Amino acid sequence: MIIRARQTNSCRWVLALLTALVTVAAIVGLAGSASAATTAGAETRLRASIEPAAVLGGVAEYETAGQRLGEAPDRVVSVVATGVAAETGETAAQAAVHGNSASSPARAYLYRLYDSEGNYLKTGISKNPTSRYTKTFMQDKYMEIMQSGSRRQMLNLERFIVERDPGPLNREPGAGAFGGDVP
Amino acid sequence: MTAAEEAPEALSIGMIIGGRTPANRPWIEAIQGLMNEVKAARTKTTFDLKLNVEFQVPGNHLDPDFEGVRTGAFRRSESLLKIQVAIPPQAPADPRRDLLAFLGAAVDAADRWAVAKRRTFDTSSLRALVASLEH
Repeated sequence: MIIRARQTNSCRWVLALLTALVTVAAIVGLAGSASAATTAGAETRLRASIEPAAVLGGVAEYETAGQRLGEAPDRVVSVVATGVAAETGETAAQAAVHGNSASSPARAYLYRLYDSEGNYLKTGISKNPTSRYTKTFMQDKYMEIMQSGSRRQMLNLERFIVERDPGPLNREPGAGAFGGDVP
Repeated sequence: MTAAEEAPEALSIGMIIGGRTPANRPWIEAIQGLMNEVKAARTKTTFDLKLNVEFQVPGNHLDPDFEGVRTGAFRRSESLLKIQVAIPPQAPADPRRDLLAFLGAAVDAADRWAVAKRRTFDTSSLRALVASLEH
């Protein structure tokens, strides 16, 4: 009888120890999973961190490739990258649009050119009308800005006008093609 | 536009209108008148320095990005200097008088430019031409 009682007491002690170990393991496991959940919330589905990253020596987001002058000094600009790789690629493609492309984001001006007597010479567009022509050409002439807007809008408007009311210096194909439309 | 270019004149006037508004109409009419006056007054005598004065009239689409009178590019082969004049937004009662003052200021600016560039030009003929317009 005495031996049996000793065996029962040792079993109880082992059970208590196992229970304590299981409880500690459960607490440690819960804490680990909570930490993992917090980290996953800060990442995108592509596991790219969305924390802002400051980069020095970049180009301002409002500055297109065409607007950057070759002699302009490099400026220190903070660029905040918040998107994933695919979006960054699209922005770079938009910035690389040529100034003469219809998709160019630069403001364009529709103008009409006259001589000193007021005779109409041509209709055209330019993103910098003041330097469009040489000073020799512009002597005794004047340019009047008619409209401004996106390059695509101005190209469409120029084409519409030149097809119907071309000046003698509008030598492009299609000039006057719809001359009969003008009443 | 190279084929359409002509030989540079001693004094020529150009104009860029940033869009027509009621406020700049007196300026535009006065500059057009002065342009024809200069065309009629200039002679075929040779000048040391030729000036192309460009008046930039502010409008509803485009404004000059400077104030007053400034020198532009110089073409050495034709001895032609460009002078740009930013016209004020509001026209005075007599715009022609102000335009003649701007022409005088343009010749002054050319003189200052010549001194800065260490070049010697005789601008007395240009001044005489501008003075002949003040009648």
